[in-house]
Amino acid sequence: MGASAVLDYDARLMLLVKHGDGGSFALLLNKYRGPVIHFLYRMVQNQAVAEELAQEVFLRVYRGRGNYEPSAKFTTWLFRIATNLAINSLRDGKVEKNHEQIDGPAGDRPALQVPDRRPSAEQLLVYRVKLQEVREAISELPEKQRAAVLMHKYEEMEYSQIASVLRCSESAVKSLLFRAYESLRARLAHMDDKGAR
Amino acid sequence: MNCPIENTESAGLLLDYCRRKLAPDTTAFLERHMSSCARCRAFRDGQIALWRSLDEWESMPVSDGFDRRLYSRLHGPDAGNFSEKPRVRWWSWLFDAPLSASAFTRPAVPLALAGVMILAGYLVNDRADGPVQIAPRDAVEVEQVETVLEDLDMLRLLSSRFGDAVHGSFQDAAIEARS
Repeated sequence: MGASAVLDYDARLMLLVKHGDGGSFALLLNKYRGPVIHFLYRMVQNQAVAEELAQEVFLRVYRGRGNYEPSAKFTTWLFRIATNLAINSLRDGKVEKNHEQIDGPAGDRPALQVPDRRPSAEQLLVYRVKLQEVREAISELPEKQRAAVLMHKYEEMEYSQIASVLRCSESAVKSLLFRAYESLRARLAHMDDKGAR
Repeated sequence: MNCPIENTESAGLLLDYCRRKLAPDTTAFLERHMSSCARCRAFRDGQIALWRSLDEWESMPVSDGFDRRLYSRLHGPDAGNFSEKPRVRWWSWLFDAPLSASAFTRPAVPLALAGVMILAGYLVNDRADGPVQIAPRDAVEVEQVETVLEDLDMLRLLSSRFGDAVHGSFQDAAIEARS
């Protein structure tokens, strides 16, 4: 973003945070708490670890407020921090032994969204198997491909923004995404055959 | 047109088409192409089915205590308040060398510190040993007189055994020492 360009709303909020405005930080937290946690959850596939990493993301945002320069979109900066933390966590192997099992007790999982409001045992089983396969397919992707897919699919970020987060070129992001989706399509093709259409 | 699937970069067009993010004219153009290109149609169908599968993966709700935990960490002992400037430790000038400082000057800091610590250790050690004990002059003289008196006693004993001649000369010596 050029210096003369109009700052996005979040960047303006962050500049207010830089000058000591706690209310602006609360607004940013309220807006991005969910997306950051959901992104991290899908990256590390563990709710507790995802929330711990999200805490670290917002702590870094707050502590780095003094050095914040709105040279890019706020979300680019935010997701860069989140992506780096998630990749480091995966490399440290902190989450590997802590993988949550989809077929475990329901706990605090969201209610299943199936057409029939009262899913039968069979539907529940099918849903869980499909979900487990999706999770496994995503977790098998290399870290950068995984991050790119999650930002593209779930956060609906533009190629340029993903490129900025991953510090690579836009064409490299397209290539990453193309290969990642190709792997996922091959891995999950049978799910479509089972009657998703 | 060249088939977009031939090139990973232009395949982004197909992804954007599946996300319905293309301009209407580009969309129409791609649809015309896909009507005659089985590979691009297969890509489109596969991608839409994949995204439908990925949509199954809903995220977890955020736990209730998230904000409370975050704010307790933000306002923890090291965090300070929003209105505060970042805390600067009194010793930070020592370690946070200015950006302009040459990389060659930075090793001087630990070396200087080591020198200061050695000097301080020397001074503390020196003080612990205390000043050299110098006996007062009077005490030395008393000791000398006592020694002389003991010697005299011994000489007296000797003189009683070896005769008066020797005794006289030793008495003279004793008188001289007392004076």
